[in-house]
This record gives sequence, C-alpha cells and structure tokens, in this order.
Amino acid sequence: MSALLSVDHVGVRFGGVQAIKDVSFDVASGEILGLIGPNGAGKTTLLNVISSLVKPSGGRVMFDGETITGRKAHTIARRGVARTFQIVQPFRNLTVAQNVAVGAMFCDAGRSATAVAEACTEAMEQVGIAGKRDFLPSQLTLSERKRLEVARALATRPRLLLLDEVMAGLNHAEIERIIDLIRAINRNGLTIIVVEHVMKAITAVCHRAVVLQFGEKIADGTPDRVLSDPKVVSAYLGDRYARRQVAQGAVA
Amino acid sequence: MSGKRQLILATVLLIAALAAPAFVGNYWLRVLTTVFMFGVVAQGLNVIVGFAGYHAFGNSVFFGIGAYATGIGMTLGLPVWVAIPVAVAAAALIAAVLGWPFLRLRGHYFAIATVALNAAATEVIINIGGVTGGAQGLPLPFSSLPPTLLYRIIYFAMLATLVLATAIVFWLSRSRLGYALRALRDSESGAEVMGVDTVKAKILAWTISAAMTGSAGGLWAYWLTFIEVGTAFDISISVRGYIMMLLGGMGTVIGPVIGAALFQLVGDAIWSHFSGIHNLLLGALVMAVVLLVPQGVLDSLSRLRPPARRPRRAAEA
Ligand SMILES: Nc1ncnc2c1ncn2[C@@H]1O[C@H](COP(=O)(O)OP(=O)(O)OP(=O)(O)O)[C@@H](O)[C@H]1O
Ligand SMILES: [Mg+2]
Repeated sequence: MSALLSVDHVGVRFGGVQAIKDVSFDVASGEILGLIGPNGAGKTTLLNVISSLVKPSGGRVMFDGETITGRKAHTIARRGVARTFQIVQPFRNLTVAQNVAVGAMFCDAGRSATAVAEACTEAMEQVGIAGKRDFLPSQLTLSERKRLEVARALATRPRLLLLDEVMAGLNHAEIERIIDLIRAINRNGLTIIVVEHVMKAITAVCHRAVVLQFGEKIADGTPDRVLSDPKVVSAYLGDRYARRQVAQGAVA
Repeated sequence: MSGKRQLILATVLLIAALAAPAFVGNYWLRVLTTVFMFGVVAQGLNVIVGFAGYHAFGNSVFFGIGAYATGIGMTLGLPVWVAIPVAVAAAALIAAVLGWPFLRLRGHYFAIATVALNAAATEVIINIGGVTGGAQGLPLPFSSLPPTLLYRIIYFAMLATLVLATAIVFWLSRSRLGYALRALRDSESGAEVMGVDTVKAKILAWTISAAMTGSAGGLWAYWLTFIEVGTAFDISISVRGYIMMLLGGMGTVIGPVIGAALFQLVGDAIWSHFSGIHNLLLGALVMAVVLLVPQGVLDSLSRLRPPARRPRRAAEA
C-alpha cells in the first residue's frame, strides 16, 4: 500500500487556539478516507493545511513522495490536489461553465482551448450540471452549487480530491446522488478525503475513517470499527449520533 | 451588452472620432482629447478594479509618474516619441516592483496604500528638486510645430492610446489572465486552489494598469507643456476615472470609454450653464448614476430590450 498523502505530526495554532495537535495519518492511493469529528474539531483546518491555505505551526505534509508544506496553494493544486469549500466559493460573476473552465485552464498550462472546453464539459456532465452551463451561480440551488464546487475541482484533473461537507444541507435524494458521484469518481482511481457529518455517507463510501476531536486524532480504522469505538461514540458522536441511533432504532 | 454589439458601438465611435477633427474647432478638439485621456485612465482602472477587484484609488500616481518621466526625459533631450514610451515603462516597472508588497494587502488596505503612494510620490518629486523642477513645476521643451497641427497630433495620439488600451482590455476579457483576474476578484482562495497564481496575476494587472495610466500622463504633459505635482498627481484624476468606469460599467470592454465620454461631456455642459453650482450638480448626477444604474449604462441599455435569452431559473429556485 503506497501512501499518496502523508500528514506527518501536523500542528496548527491560531493565536491562543491549538486547532490541530500533532495529527498524523496516511492516505493510500485509490483510497476514500473519511475525516470526521464534531464541530470545531479541526477538519477544515486540516484540509486547509493540505491545500496550503493555512501554514502549519509544526509537522509536514507529503504528497506523492514530496514535502508540499510551505508551497504556494496554486502549485499544490497544479500538482494534483483539488478541493471544495465547506462554504461554497463560486466565482459569482462567471457562468457555471466559466467557473469550471478556470479549473481546467490553470492546472495544466499546456492545455489547448479545445482541451479546456472538453475537460469542462466532462466535469459538468459528471456531476450533472451540464444543463446549467450558462447560468450564474446565484441561479443554482444549493445542491447544484455544491456540485459546481465538485465540478470545478474535477476539471483540474486531480489525483487527490478533498471534499469539505459537500452533503451538508442536502436532502436524502441529493445525498444519495453525491454518494454515487463519489463512488464513480473513485472508480476512476481518484483518491478522496471526505469530510462529512452525514454518518451514513461515511459508512457508505469510505474505506477508512479518521476521527478528530479538539484537534487531536482519537481514532483511525474502518468506518464500522471507528463508529462503534466507545471513545468515539462518547466523545464525539455521544449525544447527537447515539441519540439519533436510538431514535432510529425505535422507529424501525 | 453582448460582445458583438460592443464591437459595433466601438467601431461607430472610432469612425466618428477619426472624422471629428475635420469638423470641429479648437474648443471641441480639446474637449475630445480630454475625453480620450480620461478614457485611458478609466481603462487603466478597469483592469485592476473591474477585472481584479482591487480598488486602486491612488492610480493617479502613475499618471504623475508618466507625466514627470516624460517631462524629465524631454528636458534631458529625448524626443517625445522616446520619452513617452520610457515614461510608460517607468510607470509599469514601479507598479511591478511595488505590486509584490502592495498586492498582498487585500481589500481596503490596498486602496489606502495606493493613495499613500500617490502622496509619497508628490513629496519625492518636490524634495528631489533639480531635474523635477521641485515645487516650482517643470516646463517642457516647446515644440516647433504650429499649434493647430500639434493639437491634432496630440488628439490622434491620445485616440490611438485609447484604442490600444481598449484593445488590451478586449484581449484581457478573453485571455487566461482575464479569467484568473475575474476568478480571484470573486474568491481569492477559490482561485488559488484551482491553480491560479493570484499574486502574479494581480501584479500583471496592476502593471498593465500603470502602463495605461502612465501613457495618458505622458501625453498630457506633452500637451500642457508645463506640469506641477499638484495637477500631475491630483487624486481627482483617479477619482474621475473611477466614476467614469462605474458609469460605463466596470469589467466591460468599452464601458469605461462610454463613461468617460458621458461624464466629461455632461460635466462640460453643466460647467458652461451652471458655473456656480456645477460641482453640486455633478455630485448629484454621480449619486443618481451609482444608485440607478449600478451595473453601468452599457448594462442598462441592454436591459431595455426584452431579456429573451436570460435564464429565468432564479425565480423558481
Ligand atoms: N482562521 C482562523 N483563525 C482563528 N481560528 C480559527 C481559524 N480557522 C479555524 N479556527 C478555529 O480552529 C478550530 C477548528 O476549526 P475548523 O473550521 O477546522 O473545524 P471543523 O472541524 O471544520 O468544524 P465544522 O464541522 O464546524 O466545519 C475552531 O476552534 C475554529 O474556531
Ligand atoms: Mg469545517
């Protein structure tokens, strides 16, 4: 098992807040890793470290055998790390197609205009927003906006995709659809880190899950094992998930 | 307004501008030259503000640098056609060098930094003295050409500069750099994680912007034959350019040109009829424009037609 990404003793400090404490884990090539934890656990911060939007105060990140810590965000993107944002950040004055084109345009400087258009159409079709290509992001539903984020990331033709809560705020049918999408893009060999609060999605798509709490890694293993780990259940899922499990059990 | 209609409008305006000197007197020649000059300043702002979203209120600094570098170059014996390109290069170089620290500042900090730069440049020119003329101002060598010919040459040079600036903006609107700038304007980190080297794109934009503004300043100095820091680095040059850009529609290709023409011509009409209260009326007009046509007149004009092809999903969603 070769590690595509290694997070090696990473720590992040924001003023007095230690948002990430000495976190280490590997992601194997072709793997879907779930990154879970309660609100404020540091999941987004960790993705920000990997894509270099946040500088770690300690440790390093290796991608494909090379240390990428300290590199500029755009060079990391060009090496094949793409991501979505928890709070979607579309280019609001560009159409859907133009939004996606930016991803296709800059991650491979040699790409011709036709190749850009092809990569762009392919990414839009993959997530199912090709019909909205001339719309502005403000004219999309939340689900479509989340999928636009994914399309923009896919258009860069990444090797590692970081998804930050692409299911938050979506209904059941929309979540099923994203789950299918994640499985489909993984089948093409893409390695994915999924940050999600929707537990059934974690168990459905992830090969492995890492749990963060207060910036520390408290569990790492298969989703089933991790989710039944008493430490995880009490510390993280404690209230919310355990109660919901009970409630769902009662209904069923 | 669609690209095609903008192109038709631009062509019509260009033909009119080429023909105008045959029909108009000195007064209108001067007014139109001023329109072209501000059109160039507005296009310069369009590149950095309209495309990149960085509010360079102090861009007049490059007007002043263009003017002074031209003045100094000509005083040192350079012919005008060498002095102005050298001045443009100087303005561009200064933007490229200062862009590195300045364009790391986001939002209002950048805007304030450009204003401070403009003020600092004024002090530098005064305190250097000598070849800059210091606080006394700098007279440029007189041209031996007869005034009627000279003013026509300056008219066409200013027009050519405006056409070139507009052509650059047209290229930008379709180029990768243009995409990079519009992307980072809407989300800087969004652009970065999609592979856009935002610092490089912003520096390039400001360099292009400075070159445009500097060329307007250089021609202006040659036209006036006497320059002072107070008028060359007058912050109201960029404020006016800014209003013109907003009026015509920022981020569009010919909007800033239309804005410059409207603002300058209307301003002139107001000046001649209501000389006492013209600033008040102009101010009221500006507020009306910003409130009533926030996307600029080009956009408002195209909205007068039925929006046949505009997607209407927003209402359903
Ligand atoms: N730029 C920042 N400056 C200061 N503190 C920050 C910053 N970004 C995050 N934090 C803090 O770091 C901690 C981790 O935040 P982070 O957003 O990574 O959590 P998260 O796991 O993604 O939470 P959520 O599930 O709510 O998205 C929080 O305490 C947060 O307030
Ligand atoms: Mg988060």
